[in-house]
Amino acid sequence: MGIINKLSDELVSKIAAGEVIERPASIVKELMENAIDAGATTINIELKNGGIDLIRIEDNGQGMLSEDARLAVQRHTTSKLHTENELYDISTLGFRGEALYSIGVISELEIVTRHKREDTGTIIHVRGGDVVNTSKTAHDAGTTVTVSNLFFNTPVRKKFLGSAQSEYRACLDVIDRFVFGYKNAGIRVMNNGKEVFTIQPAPLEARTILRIDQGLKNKLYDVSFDNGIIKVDGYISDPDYTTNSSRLMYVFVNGRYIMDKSLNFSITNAYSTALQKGRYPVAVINLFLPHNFVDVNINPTKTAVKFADKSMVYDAIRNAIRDSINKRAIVYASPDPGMDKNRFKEEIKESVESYRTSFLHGSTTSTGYGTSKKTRIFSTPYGAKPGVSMNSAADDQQTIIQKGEFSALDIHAQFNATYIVASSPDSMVLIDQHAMHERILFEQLLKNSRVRQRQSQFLTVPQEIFLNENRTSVLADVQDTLRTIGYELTTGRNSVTVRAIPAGTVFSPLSLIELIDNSMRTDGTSHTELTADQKTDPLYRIMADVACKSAARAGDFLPVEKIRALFGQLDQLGIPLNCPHGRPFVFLLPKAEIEKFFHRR
Amino acid sequence: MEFTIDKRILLIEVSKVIGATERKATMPILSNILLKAEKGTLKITGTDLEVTIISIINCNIVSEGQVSIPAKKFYDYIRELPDRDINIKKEDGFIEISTEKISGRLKVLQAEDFPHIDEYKGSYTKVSYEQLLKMIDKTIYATSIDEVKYSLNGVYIEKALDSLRCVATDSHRLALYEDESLKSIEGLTKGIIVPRKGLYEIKKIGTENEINIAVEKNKNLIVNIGNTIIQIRLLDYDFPDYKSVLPSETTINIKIKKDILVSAVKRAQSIYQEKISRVVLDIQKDTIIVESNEPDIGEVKEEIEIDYKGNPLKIGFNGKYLLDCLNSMDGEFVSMGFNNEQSASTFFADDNKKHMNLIMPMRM
Repeated sequence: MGIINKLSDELVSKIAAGEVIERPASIVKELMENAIDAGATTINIELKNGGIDLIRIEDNGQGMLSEDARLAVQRHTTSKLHTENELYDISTLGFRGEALYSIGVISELEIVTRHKREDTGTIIHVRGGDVVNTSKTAHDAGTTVTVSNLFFNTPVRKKFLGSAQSEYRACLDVIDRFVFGYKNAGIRVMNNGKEVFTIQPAPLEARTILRIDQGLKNKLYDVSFDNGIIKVDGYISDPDYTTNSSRLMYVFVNGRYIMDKSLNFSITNAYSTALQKGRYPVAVINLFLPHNFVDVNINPTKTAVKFADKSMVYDAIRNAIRDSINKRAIVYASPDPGMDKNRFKEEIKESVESYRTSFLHGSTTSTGYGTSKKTRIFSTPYGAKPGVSMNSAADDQQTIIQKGEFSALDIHAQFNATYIVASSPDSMVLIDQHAMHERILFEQLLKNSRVRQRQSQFLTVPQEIFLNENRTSVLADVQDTLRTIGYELTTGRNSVTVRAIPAGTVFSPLSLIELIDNSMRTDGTSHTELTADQKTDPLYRIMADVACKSAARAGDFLPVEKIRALFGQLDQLGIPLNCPHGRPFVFLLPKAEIEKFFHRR
Repeated sequence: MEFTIDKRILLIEVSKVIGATERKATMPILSNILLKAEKGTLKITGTDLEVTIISIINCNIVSEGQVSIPAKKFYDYIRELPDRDINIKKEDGFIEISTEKISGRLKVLQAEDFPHIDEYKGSYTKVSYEQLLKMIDKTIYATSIDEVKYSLNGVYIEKALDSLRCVATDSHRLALYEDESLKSIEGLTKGIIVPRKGLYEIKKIGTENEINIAVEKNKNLIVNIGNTIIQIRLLDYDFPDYKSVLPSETTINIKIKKDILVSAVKRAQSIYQEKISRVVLDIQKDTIIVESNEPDIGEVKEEIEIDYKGNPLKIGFNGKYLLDCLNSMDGEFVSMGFNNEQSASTFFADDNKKHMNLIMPMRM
């Protein structure tokens, strides 16, 4: 007898379900996608024990027709895809027809739904993949899905679940993706009967501040770019607001949350030296491009994409962000200038209340939120109405230095022979002289290195490095760029021969491999956007060191004439206000803050 | 242990030995020197385990014994003593250094902890000190200072047909020098790599005309200069196959006055802001144009007349490599050989095939 068995249908289903459903957060994701695809404007999420005991997701979308509902819980059924051609032009989040079925296989699933065209709703009970009960019921238009007894028939998977806390956090992570990806959807989250947060349709900036950190107020720059094919919009944080993980970088492609190292890389790359090593900005970036330019059918969890033209996408992101950073070249001083914290909290509370009221009272049209007078904080552009303190336009103008304004500063003193004390009409300005000078010198070196071709030194004995296939194929894409940096390479089948290296550097096979790996994407393909000012460029580091060593040091006396000259140079460079190693060099104390401190306000 | 010695003599010998001691203090005992009084002589030893220097001097030994003391402090103290005989005596845990009314005490470490040094007992080859220094000077600048490429951190010495050959390279350029007055070194059976630090110590010590050298079991180079022995641990790596790099012939050959070229290169180099300075040689019929260009600063162009009728070539070099090479050469002229703007170029002092430099170009 042979040893190969045909697996039972039941086992096949469980295996397939496992690909889609790993943990409660996966269910939350699938169900929220369904809600969004159904056009929901409010989504109510209820968890028990971090979703292990219960997940209930209630939406006000279009709902399902009774006959559709019955079909929906079967495998490979979907309303979102009809022909093969549509697979390459996907505009909905879901399309594989696996989610509901998969959830049903490994849990007890209850679906209550009413299509807006039908009078009565449908209730379906599924257990372990089998429909156990179907009946009619009364229900608001929309769908409520309840998942309980998760993994009751796959005990191993259940064993591998994390603690209720960690599953809860994973669910919140997923929910946040929708908070940032769908600013027109109101979202309410409950865990163990307590409200976690409620956020209603509101501008992205407000959502970001509310969900990530109130300290981000005035530290978010809007990003926008549109070349007719790709549209980029979103928010990024000021280079001085960073975190130590890339977790707060959210990238959406046509509304779909995407986890992609090289997309993240093109964001940090745009910051260039404004970021310290190992620091990441907060970013919420929405990319919109024609559906046939992107393939989302890479894996069942749909967090990976392939682009028809990768470099165009990366360039768009980088340019958009770079513009945003350079255009502003702004520094905000104190953590929350001019902000009345209590007032801000009140406003949020108010708006939450109003949202809850409207939600609970069944006002479910999409315009039902954000129009109430009380909710203006989330429904109008910030600062447009008097009395809204958050991000008020008037305050902004007082607390920034625009590019080109340094020359106009009044110079008062040098403190500790390290800091320059200056002022504008609206604020006091402290500048770290070394870091400022370092940045100026660095920019000049960088400019020079762009003007002339990179110096490249041939080796007496060409060095052969062995590369695996991934690296070889990436190398083919980046070879031209490496050449501009100063490498001369001859590629073999599984190796590369290095004939010349950037002059002034020491050849190390590892640094070249690192360069190659940095341009490798998680899916093995590469991007060709290595740039001359990238951090991995060996000369780049050298330039930063040269700048650091040649710059005026802390402790050097600087006469006013020299300070003024430095300010003049600073104004001519479109630069971030950090030293090349990422330290900020300007500190601003707005007049308003000073007045507040002395109780004049 | 107790002995009496002229302070001036002691200071000179300590200053020779101190070069071998470890400055980074990874092992405290290596920042010490060992004083050993025995049979009418004082033996002073310093080592960082790579380079060991031993000096032996006659002196008046009162009682035999040995002691390990911090080299730098010992040196600093005796340097300030008056120029006359001083008495050094070991007590419990320190030595007392005294002369008339002056006396000082220095704490000592256990002499037993000082590394044991096997002394070379074999025979030597007698060589001219000046010749040896010349071999070092004509190659050492081309060694690599990158500590990752161990095999390039020293000068490679091997037997050539009827001479001794030294080669050094940092993978961008190569210097080769042969000395016919020297056929071989006692104990030299295959090529050895002598680390840079040891070579510098050889340069620092002694004024003698003749010295003795030997290779011990392919492990150490022993250099005996007067009363001092330098023992250098050889680098146990394979030196790259340098012969394959040497071009068998060059199609463009130019002879030029060395001083004129040196001055031109220096002028070309002067306008660069950074260390890497590309100096371009634009070789044409009857002239060679030495030029450089630094955006934002300016450019330099200089014509030198040469006797050349062949094909033109424009080739760039790191100006520092050119100067290092030219400055190491004896004679009035330098012969340069090129093939193309990407391949190795050769430089010979006059027409002396025994002294050659190879420089890899920079990309144009």
